[in-house]
Amino acid sequence: MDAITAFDLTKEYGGTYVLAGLNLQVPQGDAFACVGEKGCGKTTLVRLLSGLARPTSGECTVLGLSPAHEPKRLHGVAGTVLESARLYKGMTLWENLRFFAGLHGMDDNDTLERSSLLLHKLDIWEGRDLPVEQLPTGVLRRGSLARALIHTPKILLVDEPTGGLDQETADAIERMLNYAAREEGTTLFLCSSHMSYAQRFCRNYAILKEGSLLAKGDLETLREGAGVRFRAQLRLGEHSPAPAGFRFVEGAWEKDLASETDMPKIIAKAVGEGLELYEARLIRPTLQEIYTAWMEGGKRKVKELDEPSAPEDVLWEEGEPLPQGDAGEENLAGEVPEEPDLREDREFGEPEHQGSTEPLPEEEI
Amino acid sequence: MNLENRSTRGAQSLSRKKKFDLGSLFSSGEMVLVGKDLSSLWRSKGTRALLMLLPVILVVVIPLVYSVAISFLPAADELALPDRIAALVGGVEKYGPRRQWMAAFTTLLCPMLFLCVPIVTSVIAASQVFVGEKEGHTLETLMLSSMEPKSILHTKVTCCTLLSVAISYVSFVAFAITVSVADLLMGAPFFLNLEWIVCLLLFVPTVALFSVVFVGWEASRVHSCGEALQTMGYLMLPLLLLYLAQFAGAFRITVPLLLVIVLVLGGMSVVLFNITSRKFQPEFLFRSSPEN
Repeated sequence: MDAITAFDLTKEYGGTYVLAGLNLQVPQGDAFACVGEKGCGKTTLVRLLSGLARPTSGECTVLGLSPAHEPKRLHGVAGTVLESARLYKGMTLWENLRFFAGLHGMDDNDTLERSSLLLHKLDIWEGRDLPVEQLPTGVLRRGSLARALIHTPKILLVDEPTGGLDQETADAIERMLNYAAREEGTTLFLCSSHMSYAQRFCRNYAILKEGSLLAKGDLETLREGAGVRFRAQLRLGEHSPAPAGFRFVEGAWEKDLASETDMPKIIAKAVGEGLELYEARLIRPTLQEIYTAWMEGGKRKVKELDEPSAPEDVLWEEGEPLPQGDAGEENLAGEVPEEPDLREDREFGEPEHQGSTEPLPEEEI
Repeated sequence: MNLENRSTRGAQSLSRKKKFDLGSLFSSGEMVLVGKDLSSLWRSKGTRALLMLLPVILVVVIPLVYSVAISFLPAADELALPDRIAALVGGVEKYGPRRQWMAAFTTLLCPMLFLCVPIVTSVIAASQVFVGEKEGHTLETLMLSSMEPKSILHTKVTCCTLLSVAISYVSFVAFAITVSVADLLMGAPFFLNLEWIVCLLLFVPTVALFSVVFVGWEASRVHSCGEALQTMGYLMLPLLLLYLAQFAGAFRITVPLLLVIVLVLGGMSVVLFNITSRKFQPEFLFRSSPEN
């Protein structure tokens, strides 16, 4: 059984379609994130799935339950974190947890045990006896998560707040979510506009754009769909010539790869050609890069950018002058390097860039 | 056999006893919510002050000031009650002006002051419990718990009504002591009559229920506790008009009239509760787009 299903899910507010015919299936046990920019329908989706709103048309189920018609049963097996669903002011964190545990019909012993576990795992034990209005934002966020997890739900629906999370909160939440997923089999459904958090917590993703599903899958599927490539990054010795097809980005040479299997070949060739190879890394595209590519049109745009590139298995041709990196040249001239844009960087090895074979000075590599 | 019978009878009497337990009125989750609501009302200093001070002013301070003022009234016959009002009170012709005015006050005006107590306390409690939760974004959290919205409404309405009735009855005790002492000191007739008993037993619970349901009904429309408290005026105005019209001699509020009003208010409460429970859904309570 899927943890979440949505068929042609549509929600309209005052004539504006916030969600437009969304179709989605999330398997049980998954850690799934819906990502998109502000206003793409993420919060509305969580509200529909948690029964706080009813769809204008279409339908959705959570663990086979209809949020609109069986909210009581749904909330017994689902926990929901929303920025607009807050804890009670005037009550301490501990009292809040005890209250919500009581609403879920938990007895005192279970409440004590579960609350202690959650407060310790989320690292907010120290703040348990403070009134909610005195707690910092990060602790409140963790407190809201503890509230949603108090009854050990089978699925956790999280709408991540717009403001993002501080490092300490993000770490604590990650620990808690990992524990809930591993030890309690909780399915995570996260809606976020912060790709780094989504990538940190989840394995599968859906990209939403203007209330519709743009793409869905794991990172690799989305990467292939968007046409974003792996990158090889080489750090060479100071006297090494610039490798062909590579561009100089932030102190290292980078090149797009068709596949990650090309990486060993590049290393072998670099070593075989006598380059002073200090470090070779395969850089996997982040969710942010993949998301940006999808927003910019996916494969089409990438294909256009690919056309003038040099052959990928050649570092440089025998006898031809060694290519020079743009960034390095700019730095040599003493200019401030610009923020590198991977898709717009000029390819080395092209005629207009060929010139001096002088190696880059040490401090610039 | 005897033992079996005895144990069956014991169980029956236990279950009969259980019917009067608060636990039979609320489920365990609802009891938790009642406890939280009552404690949040108590913790809020402003609400606590209003719930305690307003009844005291209405049923202790005002009657006390009136009694003291009446005690300074000269015993001249021209200051006696106008005939029309005296006829409304009934059987006060034999008393002096002070006693007549005291009797008129306790019979014709004090029920109005007393009936303001359930309205005031109901509106204060309900606006905190319904609109205060909505304002503090906790009603949404409550809707995410294992309680049906209808059950939340039922619990909050019952809790506020019971609280209001309890405060009203405590107020009545304070009122009865104040007025009885004044009656005794002035030699006025004892205030309690059949109308008062109907007011106490039927009117107070009905008007408290109606006031709470009214605030629950408007919870989706108003945005703040202050806004909800303003509706107290709509509820008190008909009551004030009713009793002031009586004091002006327009008519007499009799037991049958009170029973009719109680029935009408009860019916309206049921209808309004049903309308409210249909609208007491997150979809109606939180209407705006969350994406903005």
